[in-house]
Amino acid sequence: MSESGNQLFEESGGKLLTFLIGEQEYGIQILEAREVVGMLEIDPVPQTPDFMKGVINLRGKIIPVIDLRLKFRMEQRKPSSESCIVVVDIQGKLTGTIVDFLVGVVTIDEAEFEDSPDLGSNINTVFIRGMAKLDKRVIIVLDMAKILTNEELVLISKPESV
Amino acid sequence: MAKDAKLKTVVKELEDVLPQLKSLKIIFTKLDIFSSTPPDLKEITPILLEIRKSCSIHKLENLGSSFGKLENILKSVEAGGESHFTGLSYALNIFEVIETALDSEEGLEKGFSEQEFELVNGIYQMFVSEKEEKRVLSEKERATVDKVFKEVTFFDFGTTDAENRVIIEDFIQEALDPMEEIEDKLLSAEDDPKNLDIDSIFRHLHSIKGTASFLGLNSIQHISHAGENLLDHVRSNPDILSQTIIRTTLRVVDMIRLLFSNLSMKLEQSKDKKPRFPAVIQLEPLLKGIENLIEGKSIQDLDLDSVKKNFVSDQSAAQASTQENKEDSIRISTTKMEELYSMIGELTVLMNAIKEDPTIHNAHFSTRNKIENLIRVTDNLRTKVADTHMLPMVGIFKRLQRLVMDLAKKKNKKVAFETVGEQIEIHKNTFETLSNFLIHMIRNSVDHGIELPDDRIRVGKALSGLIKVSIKLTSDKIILMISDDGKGLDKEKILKKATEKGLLAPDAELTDQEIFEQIFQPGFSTADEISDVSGRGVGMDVVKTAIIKMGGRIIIESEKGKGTCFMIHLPIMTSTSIIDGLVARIGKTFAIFPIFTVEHTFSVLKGDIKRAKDENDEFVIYRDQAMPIVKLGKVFNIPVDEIDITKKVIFVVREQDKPYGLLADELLSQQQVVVESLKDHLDGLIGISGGAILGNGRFGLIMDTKSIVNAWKNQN
Repeated sequence: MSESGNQLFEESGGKLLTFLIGEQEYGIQILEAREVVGMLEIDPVPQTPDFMKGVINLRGKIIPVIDLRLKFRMEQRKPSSESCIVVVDIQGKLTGTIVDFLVGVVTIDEAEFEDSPDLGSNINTVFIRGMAKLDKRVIIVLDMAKILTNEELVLISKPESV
Repeated sequence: MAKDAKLKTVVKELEDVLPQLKSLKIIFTKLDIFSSTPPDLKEITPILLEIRKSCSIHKLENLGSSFGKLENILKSVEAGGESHFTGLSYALNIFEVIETALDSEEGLEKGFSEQEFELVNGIYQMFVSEKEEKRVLSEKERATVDKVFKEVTFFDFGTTDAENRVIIEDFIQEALDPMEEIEDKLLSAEDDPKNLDIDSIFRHLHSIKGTASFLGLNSIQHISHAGENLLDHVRSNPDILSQTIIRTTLRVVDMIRLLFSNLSMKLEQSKDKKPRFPAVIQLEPLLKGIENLIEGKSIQDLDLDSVKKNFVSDQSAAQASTQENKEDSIRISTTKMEELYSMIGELTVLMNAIKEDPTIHNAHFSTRNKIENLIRVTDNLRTKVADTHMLPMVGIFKRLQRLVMDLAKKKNKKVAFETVGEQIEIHKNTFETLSNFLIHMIRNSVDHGIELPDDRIRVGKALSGLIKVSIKLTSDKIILMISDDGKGLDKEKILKKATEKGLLAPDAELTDQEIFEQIFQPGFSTADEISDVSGRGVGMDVVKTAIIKMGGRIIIESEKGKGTCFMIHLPIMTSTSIIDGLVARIGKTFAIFPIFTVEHTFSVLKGDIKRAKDENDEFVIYRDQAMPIVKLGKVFNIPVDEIDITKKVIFVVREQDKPYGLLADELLSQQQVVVESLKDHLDGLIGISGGAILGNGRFGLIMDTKSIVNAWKNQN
């Protein structure tokens, strides 16, 4: 198993917080999730890429929010009443991610987990820890640290491309 | 009872000796062991004789014999041997052992113990062997010497009375960081000496020397002075820069550290009266080595290494002493403090929400009461935490007062010192920097500004000069004024010096202000000779660098013959960083202009807008000047309201004395906001210095007007 997969079982005992984006169920390691809040007013910030939706005021703390739909190059969708913001904590930095529907906490069996499959060279699997099977569901386990650090949230050199 | 009686008799016996001891100490304190001529010891001999007589009468044999040894050493020093420096350090060490022994209650009870007598004998033996044999000690001898040395107190000339103690403690704490920086720079340049950042090392050494000189810490002053000399020499002869020089400078740093650690121990000792045994430090080999280096002689690395070896063995002792020094105050990492502040901020927001909550107003009396108490405690907590970073100016002013006194005396000048605003409290970070550069500036004023009394009378001024420091706070800045009624800055002399040093082209035409600003150039000094006080031309350079780093500016006003006035503006640093802001809207984005950056806001009339080339190059006439319109929507590349420009609002800001009109869609309100850094995720946004939560709970971007103007210039 990959290092990132091992980490999942060592640190969180295979516990995931799962949510839907579109029809697909995604999960993040439970330790990375700080809290879940309903949709709040998001204020845009200039000079940032389009998946960076802006910032929210979480009890007086300013937290940037990203839209995973845009990050994964999916079609944008207006937030519904089911949409919510999952606040993740990566090395003390809080970031919100918009998800379509919150499923809940599940525990997966180590035997039911597979490293990210090779989906061909044109699909970037760097953000994915692996796939987990649970009953008949297939959960894509995301690596939030990679998603949030892989690409800078600020476009320093080319503000015109916003 | 018996013990008491015995104690009394011993003390009585010592009574004859103690006053003598005191006068001896005064003489020793005045001695300059670094002077190039052998010291005058005439005064000491009769006192020593008296003491030895008393000792003999009271049968204090060990003590008498110790003083006899002291006398022997001093005699040989007087006769003029190879070096009076070494002799005197031995003599002073013996004296220190005696003094420590007799200073404590225990010492008074027991008199002079065998153990201490052995120490004195050990020191004396070392002196004799070094004096007579004049050779480098063998490994074995060295070990014995080291063993004895480790237990001996070094006599540093610094005054350590209670008043100075605090200042010295501060000095040691403050000097730690620069020392580390110097060391880092030296170490990183060890492989490639040509990369050495001499200027900044020089500056730090200069600061240390300055403060040490003011506190009377002669040994630290001398060693840093020697370091400076060496670097100065290297600066004018870059070719000689070598590993040897870097290593020697490192030794200077080690030496200063060790002197600091001794000083710390000494301070501890004067606090609880327990004797401690700092290391013996021999400055001379290093001073000599530096001298040789400057004269171009080669020096043996071996010398330096043997000095180094001693240091290593003393490291643990030095560390132990720093540990102990932490009793009175603690150093907290800024990260921890920041975490605390951010939590307090969060708590405040929560408390505000509770205060506004209608259910609370309708709650039962006892519930409301508890919540009110909670709010009060929270408010107290917030003020207390914010207070931990604020210090009153009186601390700085007291130091300066002393500095003026001491310097004036040294320079045979009469100077009065006046201060305004000593109760004003400023942020700790500002405080430390301020204290450092004020020392430089006041030193310059006394040394170069104020004339000698005779000269003052001749030009019809009062005998005594006046230096005034005043501080006041406005809503957004600290205004500091340092003025003297001395001879003022001499424009011609500055121009001449600057041209000579190649800092200025000979035909440059400058305004008065620009001429005065030459004194901030590194390496500039109009002083004709280098004194230990000032004149190396680093001082004002340090001042300017510090002020700019803090985001402030300095203005000089001076009239020849009348005096000089420095005006310094510094931005206020607060721990919670609450600013007054004008909140505006640009499309859907909220923007906050810090109120002090905005000169004026207004809406334009249609006909007022002039177009130079195209719609990106529009301007209006503002106070008789063409003021370009900076469209914020365009700078930030965000959608704006599609309304007529006359319905929008212009914020006038000034950059480099030129006005710029920043165009936003709407002016909403003026409010106080708590500035938050965005560096966690959104570092590097152009034109934005931070964010804040507005009163309506929404997020506003704090405008960095300077970088907005720059970005706008780049876009066009």
